[in-house]
Amino acid sequence: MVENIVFILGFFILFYVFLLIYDISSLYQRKKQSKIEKKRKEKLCKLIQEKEQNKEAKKSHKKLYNKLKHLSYLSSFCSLLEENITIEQKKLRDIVAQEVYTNLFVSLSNFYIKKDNLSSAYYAYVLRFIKIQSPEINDFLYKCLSSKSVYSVENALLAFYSFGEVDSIIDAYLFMSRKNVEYGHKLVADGLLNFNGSKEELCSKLYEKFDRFLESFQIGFLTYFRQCQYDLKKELYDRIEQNQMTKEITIEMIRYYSKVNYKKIAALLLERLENNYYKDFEYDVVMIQTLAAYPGKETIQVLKKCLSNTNYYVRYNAAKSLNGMTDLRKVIDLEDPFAKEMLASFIGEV
Amino acid sequence: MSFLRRLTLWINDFFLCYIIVYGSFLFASAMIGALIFYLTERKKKYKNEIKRDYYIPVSIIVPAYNEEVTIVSTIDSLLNLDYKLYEIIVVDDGSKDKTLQTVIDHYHLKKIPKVVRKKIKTENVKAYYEGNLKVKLTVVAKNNGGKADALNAGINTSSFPYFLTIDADSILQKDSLTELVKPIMEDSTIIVAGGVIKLSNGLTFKDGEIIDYHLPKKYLEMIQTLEYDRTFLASRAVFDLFNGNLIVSGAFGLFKKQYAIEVGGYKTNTVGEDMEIILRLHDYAITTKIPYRIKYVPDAVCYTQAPSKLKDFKKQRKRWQNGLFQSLMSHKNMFFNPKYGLLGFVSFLYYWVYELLAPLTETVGLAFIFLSYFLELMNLKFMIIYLAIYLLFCTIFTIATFFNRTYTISNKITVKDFIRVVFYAMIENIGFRQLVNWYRLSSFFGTHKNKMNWAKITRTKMEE
Repeated sequence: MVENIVFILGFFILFYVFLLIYDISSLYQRKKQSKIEKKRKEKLCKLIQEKEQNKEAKKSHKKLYNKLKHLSYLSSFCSLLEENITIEQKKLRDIVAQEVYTNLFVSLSNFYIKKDNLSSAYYAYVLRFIKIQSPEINDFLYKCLSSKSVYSVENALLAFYSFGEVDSIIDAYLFMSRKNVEYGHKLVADGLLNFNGSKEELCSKLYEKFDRFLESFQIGFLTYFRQCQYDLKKELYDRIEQNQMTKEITIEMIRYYSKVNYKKIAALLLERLENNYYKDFEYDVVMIQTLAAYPGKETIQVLKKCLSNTNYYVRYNAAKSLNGMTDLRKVIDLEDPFAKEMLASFIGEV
Repeated sequence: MSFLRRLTLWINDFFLCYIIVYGSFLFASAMIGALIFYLTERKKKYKNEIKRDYYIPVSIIVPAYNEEVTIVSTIDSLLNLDYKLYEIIVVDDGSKDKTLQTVIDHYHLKKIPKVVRKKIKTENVKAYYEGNLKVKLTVVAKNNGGKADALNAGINTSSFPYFLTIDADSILQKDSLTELVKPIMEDSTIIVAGGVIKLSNGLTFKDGEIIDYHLPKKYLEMIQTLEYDRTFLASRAVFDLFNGNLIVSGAFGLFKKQYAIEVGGYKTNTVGEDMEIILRLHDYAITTKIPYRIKYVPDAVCYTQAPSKLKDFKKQRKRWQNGLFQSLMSHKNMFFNPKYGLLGFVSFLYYWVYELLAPLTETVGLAFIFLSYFLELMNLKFMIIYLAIYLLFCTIFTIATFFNRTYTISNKITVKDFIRVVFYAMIENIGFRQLVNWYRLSSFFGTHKNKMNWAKITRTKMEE
């Protein structure tokens, strides 16, 4: 038994020695990496140059295709695209956007559609620089959208945003809604800021089909509408008034008015605050935060009442919103000691 | 056969099995750890990541007690993070030195009448200070209550839904917070994310970046450098596979505030508050059946100071052993409990056998090897070979894990440092390891009155 154990320990030692050799050799390899990378880029530039000089040549097309099937070459190609180098007095991104390159990227899409998530996600990342659209490329990106990998979804959407076509964004999100793809609202809202086309048109069509999307996407879109300050004043007001949506959606809709001014909403929010309409402090807090953008006598009056609310967050936000619209020293003479204390902290005097 | 001889044979067999199981576990964890590093690097290289300008807002809580030497360096490194939405909360826990005044004077802070909702009970807060910096900096001056109490005061003061705990002698790299937050953007079930702790001894920092990397010159610091790298590769990566990490270092852990409050914050009656809260979060999430993950993030790195004096080192190791014991005992119901799955069977078993009881097992095991020789149960040649294999195994593992970490975070080391690593990996097992075991064993027999206090460790200035 002891001998066997010594054998096993010896095997482990051998493995660690191997790991050590691997790490040391990798450290050495890293030093050579920049030279290898440079050579790859030169080979790719040469191939593109040959293709440019003789655009019908199948040979250079096939060579490029065979090279770009390897992630290492695709990575070098991507670096060249990011640098947008000049070949034959033309920028690389303009070169690859030409029709003669469509077949190349279609073939690569057909290749990468069968590969693992990491490779597909990377190819989707590269497509944002290519901006060629075709049914095969679309199929590839839709495969990425339905992948379990959030990176595939992210990179596919970023490719769609870069194309600048509104309808393809709408169709992508509708597809993801049908497939119940998990993709957080923050990712949606931030991602849409990368959209290269007409934001106005995008907002309009997103709202047109609003009810067909998943809730997380709806929240993301509402954040985007707010950031773009797209005019949905009347539409969202009507929805808030009818009060038939979920809590998260309602809160995001109310928040929209903190950036997009609409006098009618102030009256509605003030009324609901006074009557404790929602009976939930989270609604109250977001209403108070939004009302900071609507200073006025009635607002100050209602916010003063909120200073005596039993919930700390309501009192805190009421004081914060009041701080932006009136001299708190005038308000501070209240009977409620908690309200007084809260205001004093915003006045900042000891 | 006499009782002693039978006992010696039995203990030798047990110790052999102990080594082989531990060796197998380390083998598996080294393979998995190395594979995870490789895959993470590959993902980054091929843009399989979520990159944003704005991530989730985070409150960074820095509990401080007698940290006047390092506190400004720490805050400066935090002010230089490549992160858009965060605040810094320094909690001065009744320091007896000039920690509080140093921070107030250096950053020109003003006293403010802040109203804070005490979601978690703490010792009395005497005052709040804030300043107009590029990032909101709040200092909480409170009565002494221990590190856990200071952290709770920080949680009460925080504005954001996530908080990060770091030590007052720690330095974050510019991208540390971003790397720690990224997994949360990808997986919203993550309630805690823990990074890697490396030692800052021997390093030179400027504006939160390493400008000079050398291994420490002092023996004690050098050995600890090797030890830290081994620990993080050895177990965290494996436990992360089945959400079984029982500890996220208090020096660098990101928490979802909601859950930290729901479990009642940090316990003040233990010195292992960082491990204890993790166990409680596991228990809470499993009991309430919420989908959750406590994630280990190997790319997020925090640098902290290791004790350079033996007396400080001794205090630290005794405190860690006490903390481990207190945490495991207070959650002993989780051990081998099917409700907790692999966490209860594998993680707990590992921590009981290979962490808590390890000093006792190793000391007794080695002692009985020598006893075997004197009882003529083992000849000298075999004893030497046996010990040599054991030492070689420990040495090679330490060297391999150190280089794996160095390789993955691209720190360059000189040939001289390479030789020093090999040398210290060899001699660590002759004397140092046994000394640590003795400190850990003696923690069970020491006085109890200091068990809840902050450990007083001599600090040295870090920045250039």
